Amino acid sequence: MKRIGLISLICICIVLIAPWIGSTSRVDLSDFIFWQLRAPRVLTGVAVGATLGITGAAFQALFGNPLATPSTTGTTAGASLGALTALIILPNEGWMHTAGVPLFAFLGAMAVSIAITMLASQRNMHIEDVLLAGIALTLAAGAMTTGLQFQADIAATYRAVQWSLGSLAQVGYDSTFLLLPLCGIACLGILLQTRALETMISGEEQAFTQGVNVQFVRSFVLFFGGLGVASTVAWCGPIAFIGLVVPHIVRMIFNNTRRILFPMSGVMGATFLVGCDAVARIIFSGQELPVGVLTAIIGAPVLIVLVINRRRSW
Amino acid sequence: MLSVDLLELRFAKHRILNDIRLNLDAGNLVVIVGQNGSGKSSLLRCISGWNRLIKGSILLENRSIHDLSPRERASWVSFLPQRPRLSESLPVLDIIAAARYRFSESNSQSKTYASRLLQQKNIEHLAHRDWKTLSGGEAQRVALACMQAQDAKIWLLDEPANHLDPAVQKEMYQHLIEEWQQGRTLIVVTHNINLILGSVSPESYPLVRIVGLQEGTTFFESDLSDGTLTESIGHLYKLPVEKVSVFGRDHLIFGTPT
Repeated sequence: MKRIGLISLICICIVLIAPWIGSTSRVDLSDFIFWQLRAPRVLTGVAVGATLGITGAAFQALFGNPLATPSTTGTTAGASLGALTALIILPNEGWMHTAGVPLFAFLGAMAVSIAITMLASQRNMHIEDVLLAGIALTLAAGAMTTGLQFQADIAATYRAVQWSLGSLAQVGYDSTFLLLPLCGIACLGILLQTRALETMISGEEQAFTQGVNVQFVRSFVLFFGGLGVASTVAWCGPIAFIGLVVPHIVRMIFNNTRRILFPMSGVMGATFLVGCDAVARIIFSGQELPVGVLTAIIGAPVLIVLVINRRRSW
Repeated sequence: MLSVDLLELRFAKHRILNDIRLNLDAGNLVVIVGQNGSGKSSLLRCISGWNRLIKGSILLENRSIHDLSPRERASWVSFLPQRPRLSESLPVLDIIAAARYRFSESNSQSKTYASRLLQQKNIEHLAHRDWKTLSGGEAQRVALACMQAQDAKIWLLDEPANHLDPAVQKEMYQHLIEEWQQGRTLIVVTHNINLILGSVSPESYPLVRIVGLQEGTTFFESDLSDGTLTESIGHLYKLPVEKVSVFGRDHLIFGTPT
């Protein structure tokens, strides 16, 4: 319990310090930069990081697989396909562009999520089959994206690549206020199934005989997880590794009890993303590194070290 | 209480089970024997409601098991697999608390119950151990504690003492027979009929029902005191069998096929 308090305190401090980090070239602009750029950015980072952390932990629990991520079910691939479609068929500027890309990405992600959810609600589907279907959907959506890029002009392809790097950058609070409730609902939905997912640790059949409505829990978690991931990807692009690595870090520090694992994955996911974003702002002066690049660069070695020291956790 | 009227179960066009009828009253002990692949585990999975039948029904007090709500079903039937597996490791106390899912109680209530159970079983030293660090015997004791935590009326046990050392095997069966004597209904799948013979007191032999399965259908049905049991088991495994008395108890010894 002490440890939870301590880690949470450190996380809150990092999140509170984060908006102060970054270059402020002109003093008269500092208020604008702080309140209109940094603050909404940190808020977005908290929502996105928490959602990815919790969804990652929940999907790993659901699939009984340490390698599952929020994107395992094809959500991110669906979003990429949607975003690229929007970049090709919609005009390049104006509100059609700013609203169209997130909307198309969101729809693409939700289409895949709903397909997976419906598959998972079938009685004869094993969870391994659902996982396989998710991987198949990821590959199919990826292939379609590549096909579209082949057809698209260079400008659209370039913007698609930019989008696929993932970024929290934005001006004002419009998207933050859209993102916060969606992420909130998604996280809450998953947390409602904490107890069922804890029982499912001994496998679906055992959980079934212990009174868990396996099909319902599966569909519920996949839908709300999908909703959360779709929202984050729609507005911020795919941000790699948080959903995979953060739950593993939490497992190393605490134990696997879902009541700690899920909320703490949220807290640490938020902190990890906000921290990475702050570093991304200052690492090259004058130019921002896309945060998705940084989370992957930091996340990959962390994961490998954890795998080497896995004795304890899995 | 439990009525199994199992006409057909298929997996991918293969007929696994065929024409099995079984009626159980509360407090019965049924031992299911049969060769590997004779459908013993599948039968348990049908009774637990996990496998769906093509034809037939599993009735619990005249209600189909598939019509019960998941929690109601869990109050009727629980299942102990051959080798419990966890996808992630958890402290023992949390595993036992998780088995209380069917009760509408808070997590701390479940945990209180779990720690009391561990004390009763004299294994409270395991409470904070990680499941992955347990020995096979300890893991099976914890699995049994989970069954007690779930507290279902009917226990389905699939080779509960397989892969355990002889002392733990005895201990396991003693616990099970105690449960039976206290009124629990047990359906046990096992190859080791000697463990049953050794754990049940001879006066109770007539109460222990033995069902032999062959190729997915009932081959024989008798009880532990039945004089023809030895012969039936020999036919079932296609091996010569001799009943001998060792340590004051009957044992079945299998010979080499001639």
